[in-house]
Amino acid sequence: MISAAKDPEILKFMDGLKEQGFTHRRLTVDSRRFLCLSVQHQKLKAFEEGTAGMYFIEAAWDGEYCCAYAGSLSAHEEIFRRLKETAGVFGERQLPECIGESRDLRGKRWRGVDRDKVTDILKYAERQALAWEKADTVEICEYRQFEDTVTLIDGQGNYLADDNGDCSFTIRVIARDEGYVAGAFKLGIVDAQDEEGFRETAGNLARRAAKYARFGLHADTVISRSCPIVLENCVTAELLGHYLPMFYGENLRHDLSALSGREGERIGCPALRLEEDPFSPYGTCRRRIDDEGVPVTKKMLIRDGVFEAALYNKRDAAAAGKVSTGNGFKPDITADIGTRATNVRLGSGDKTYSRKEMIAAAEGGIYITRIEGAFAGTDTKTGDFSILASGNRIEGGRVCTALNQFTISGNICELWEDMEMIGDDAVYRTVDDVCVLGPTVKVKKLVVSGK
Amino acid sequence: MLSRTYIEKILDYVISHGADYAEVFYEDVSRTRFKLMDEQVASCVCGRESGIGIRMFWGLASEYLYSADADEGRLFGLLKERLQGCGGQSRRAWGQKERGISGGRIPLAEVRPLEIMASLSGAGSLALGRKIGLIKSGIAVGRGAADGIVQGSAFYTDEDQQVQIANTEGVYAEDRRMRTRVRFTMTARDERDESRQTGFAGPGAMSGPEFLESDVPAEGAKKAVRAAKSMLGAKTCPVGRMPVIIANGFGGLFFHEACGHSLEGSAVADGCSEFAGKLGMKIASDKVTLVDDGTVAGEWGSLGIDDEGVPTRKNILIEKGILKGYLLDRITAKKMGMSPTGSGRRENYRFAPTSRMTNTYIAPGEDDLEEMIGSVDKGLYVKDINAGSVDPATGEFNFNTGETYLIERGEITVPVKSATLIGTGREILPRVDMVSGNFALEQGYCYAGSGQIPIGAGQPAVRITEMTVGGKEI
Repeated sequence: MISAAKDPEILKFMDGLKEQGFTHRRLTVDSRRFLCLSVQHQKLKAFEEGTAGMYFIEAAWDGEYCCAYAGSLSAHEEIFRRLKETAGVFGERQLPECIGESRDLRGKRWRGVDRDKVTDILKYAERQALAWEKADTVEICEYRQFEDTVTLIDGQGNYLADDNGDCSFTIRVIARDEGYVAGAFKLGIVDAQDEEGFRETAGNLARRAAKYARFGLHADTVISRSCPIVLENCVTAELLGHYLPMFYGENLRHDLSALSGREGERIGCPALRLEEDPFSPYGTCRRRIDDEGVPVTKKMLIRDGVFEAALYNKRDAAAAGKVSTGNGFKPDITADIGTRATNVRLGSGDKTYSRKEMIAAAEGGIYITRIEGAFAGTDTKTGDFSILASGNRIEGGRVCTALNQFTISGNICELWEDMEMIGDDAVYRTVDDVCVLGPTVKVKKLVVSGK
Repeated sequence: MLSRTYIEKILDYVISHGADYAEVFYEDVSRTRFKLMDEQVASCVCGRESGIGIRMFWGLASEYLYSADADEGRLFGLLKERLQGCGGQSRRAWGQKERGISGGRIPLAEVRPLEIMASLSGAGSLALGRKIGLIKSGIAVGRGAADGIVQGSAFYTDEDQQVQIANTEGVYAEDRRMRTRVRFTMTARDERDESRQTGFAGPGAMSGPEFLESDVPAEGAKKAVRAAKSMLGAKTCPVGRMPVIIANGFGGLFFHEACGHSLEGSAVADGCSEFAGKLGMKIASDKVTLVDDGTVAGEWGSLGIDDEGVPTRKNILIEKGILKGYLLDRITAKKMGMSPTGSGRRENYRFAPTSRMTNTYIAPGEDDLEEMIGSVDKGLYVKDINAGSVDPATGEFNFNTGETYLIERGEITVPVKSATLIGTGREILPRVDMVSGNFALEQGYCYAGSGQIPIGAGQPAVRITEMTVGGKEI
């Protein structure tokens, strides 16, 4: 692998910065590769492939922090002008530090893709889905992969390089019957170079999506009430993902989190554990340093129901009198550093339960298999949520009639407190680039709104 | 920008390898973004990037390649690697060519975008310090507009995008798009600090940053303050089925989600929309006329020409309840045997274009707002909507409301905490029974298949006879 730090254009640019009088120089080189194949009606529907790169330049001008981004380093003068323009607007801001020892932490994330073979597997998955009773259309049947490489270079030519990437399969099946329509979506990690494994995973996910779509047909509506709830693992993961910003230092500092001022307090049931583990074999995030060059670390956010740790980048850590936890990540390649978790897993520090046990314990309740609109219906400032949901009625210890067109409402801290049973069947969902692993859980009650 | 000769060379290369259609999109875009937390600059980034996207159709399949590097050697290396063996084994996956898109190449001829920019002064017409100063002033105006404002923040963005679009059907277009927007978030507390509420307002325009020197940003900050103050002491929202009145302005997002996305070609052409195959049918009440208009001068969601080189236009989607049209990009138009509607949009070169909305609104009616409110015994008055989403295949939509009030015995009584409104387009559209004349259009973003794009959403106040409200009060 050739490091961006040795690129002659970059070396020339860094020299130019120095000659101009910029100090505390740091360059972040972010390059991304992306590939997507999708199939519909047994034909390849679309193929997309691309590369994008961005330079993010930070330095000090007259002792003041400044920054700019550029797609190319060739327009030196324009970049210097932008840097000088931002100097002084930030007030107090930590200047970029030297990297010290150079390290290359990159793995091999990108997979060579045989388009014909991947297409054949996607067609197979589509056929598997459509073979299921009442399955009408496969709306999405696609393979995606990406690789994101980040290289930080300081004014002395030292560098840190890291990368991330994954390959995934997604399918969405629409079932129709007598005017009723229902959809179901499944996704999983696959490896395009493991043809048999990919085929097996894609086929399984396709059949499960078709089965869920079929079960969603002829759905009944719900009478508004408060009742026991079982959240399916993917729902737990998705809901949790939208509340992770409550643990971010910037939101805690600015009173934009329902957890502001509550560090050390109990915020969930005694068995509840929430762990951030960048090294988890089940997670999709593979980063070893964050976008500020700080090593990522494993930490418990909630231990035995108690809010134990928050997540910080350098800036917010300094403001809180703490040190960065290795969570300084950019929300996009042209943005300033923000905060983000890597892989987060919700689990139990105590006994775990099977889905069957949870359903048996939730008589008269609802098994939630899908939520929609969580990005709009969740509030990290208050913890409140009100979200469109669908699922099944629980009767006689079994999941039965499909239900849709209702909402579930509550508060995330109350939900964590009301978790009576936690499973060990975690699946992942990606929410705002964070890999969230959630198990099926039983909650004492939530308000449902329908008829 | 790229030379026309270079663009023609790319088009010729792709078409000579058997594609039915080829298209080049190049952009060069400068942006300034910053966030203020009261007086403090929390983040600030300025920069410039460029990139190229090359799209080709093979029958009804689409292939898209993009690169930040438009250098000829590198780009043609990529194209050669991708197009090697065309017509042979590697094309097996594309299936048979059915209803071929066009084939061949027509010589390029200039297509002029509509002149819809409010100004052409350029993003650099105001220095960064001046922009920050003006937004700080806006926050200060907001803070001064009422007592008890505990926090004021603003997110500012401006963008100066220059694009070139050319295709094998002979289109060559250049366009310059400048947009400026600021979103204020103001938090108020009551006298005893027992209740805190947040209000939002996000004025924006297709204009350079001189937009900041108008009264609009300060009015936006005051609007956010008014919303926050009005919601102090809000009760929990009741649940169940009830009449809902959605106020004018960004309430129009309701129709953007409830039926707009379901009328986009990306859903309709694949049969994954509840409105597929229903052209000419009655799908809404007589009161509903839904329009998507990308030609409104100076509007945030407008475009002089779409990202496929088709001039934007005023598309009547629903007229007095009858479904009149869809929003189509080139490939969905071909799939459906129709013409594109100037609706091909994308966030940037990293996305292939697809059918998207521009400024979408319900046309004004003749009902009186006071009478509308007076007609409701128990229901909701939704002054503002935060965000929402829809599944076009099932038609199920959901919205999170912002400033919301209870209507009791014909009067607006108390504010209620944000609620979720749910339903399906086919269920709700026939239930629109009153539409007022107080039309307003506001600005926001839409997130979908081709990324985050600026949109306008608007309407006069509308009444829906009954819909499901998700709250906490049983």
